[in-house]
Amino acid sequence: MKKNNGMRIVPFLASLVLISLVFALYGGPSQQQQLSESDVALTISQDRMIAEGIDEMVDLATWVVSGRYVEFDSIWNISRDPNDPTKPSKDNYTEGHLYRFHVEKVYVGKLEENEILISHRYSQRKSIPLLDKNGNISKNPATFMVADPLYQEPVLGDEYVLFLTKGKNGYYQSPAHPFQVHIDESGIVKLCTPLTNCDGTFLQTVDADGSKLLVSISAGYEINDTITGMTRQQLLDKIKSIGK
Amino acid sequence: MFMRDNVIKKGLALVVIITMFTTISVSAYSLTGWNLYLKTTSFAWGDRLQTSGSVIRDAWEDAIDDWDNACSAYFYYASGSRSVLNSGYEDSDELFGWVDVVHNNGSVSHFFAYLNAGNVHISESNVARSAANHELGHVLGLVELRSGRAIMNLKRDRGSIYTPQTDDLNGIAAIYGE
Repeated sequence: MKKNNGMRIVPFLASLVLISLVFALYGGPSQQQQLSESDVALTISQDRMIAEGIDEMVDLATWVVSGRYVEFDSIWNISRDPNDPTKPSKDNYTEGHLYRFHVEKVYVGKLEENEILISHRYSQRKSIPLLDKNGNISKNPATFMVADPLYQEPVLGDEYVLFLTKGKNGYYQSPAHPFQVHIDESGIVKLCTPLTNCDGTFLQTVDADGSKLLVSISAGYEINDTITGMTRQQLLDKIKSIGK
Repeated sequence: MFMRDNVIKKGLALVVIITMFTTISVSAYSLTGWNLYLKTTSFAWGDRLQTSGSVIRDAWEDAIDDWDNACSAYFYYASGSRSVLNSGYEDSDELFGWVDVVHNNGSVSHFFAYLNAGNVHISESNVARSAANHELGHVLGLVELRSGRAIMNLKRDRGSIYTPQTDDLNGIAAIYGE
């Protein structure tokens, strides 16, 4: 009997250890990064299409191309006049950076041009009445620029594979994030995203009419990166195997 | 020896069962850390939504009803409200909507929420309503998810998941109580 009682304790203790391990790994209801409430005055949350893995990136794209960024072209306002999208918005400003991209190969879709303009969402202007030190809403809005936390500056001359759609203004752009894959000189692939090592929450200190303001931006979630580390050939074989 | 092996097997089976139950019972929601007082807030229509009948305005109105029906969250119109529901226009098919929430000491002060009328998918069936429910979920205190059948899941099929789901409502219950 003593032996039986002793043997019953062992699995009981083992189950306690495992339960503790489960909660340590997965937790209960997860909390966003805990910040001092007096620090973060504004939280921006974006409903963006996130693609995880080559299959999803190909599925969402109209074109998949390889090539190299040639040079920075210009800045444009991604916010448009809803009555005439060919014109920029008079009231709102979202800064887009246009880059010239030399297309070397097309894997999905048909493309006649061998040089295209790629639009990257760079930043957005906010004009928002904030709270003063007493917690009252200020009469005048504070105006400031917020950088897009998912922006990945292209490296000119390096090889990329891009997963693209086309906007109403004729610029090629992302159908989802991420949309760029970098290939280094050794032919090793790297997914271009900051979402592989964070939970999608980013902090920025912005200059709001001469005052420093802490802004929290929720722009996605941690991506399971199954792409970085592949070889160029593995990546291209995978894209071709999807057969779009 | 036989009895000891038998007890070990039973113990391992018990561990597996307890682990599975524990894993399944972990709720799938994330919280911002703020809340709306009494799950209630006023809003005003933005400059692009002064008249009814547009895809965007219909989506906001449906989402307001959806959250009210799901958990008695009450978004009510007040012309002088500092919070605004509006339509934005970015030439981007990646961005469906966004909300700027001004908060202090765990409470929402006011917010500005937009649906992106420039997204080519926004006029597809239920997509705008899905985005609207997602943004109002943020206002109520929920954060993005990466999995699960939830309006807060960024990977959701926006055509088929367009109202608050069980995981979302579990998050609301965690913030505001049953």
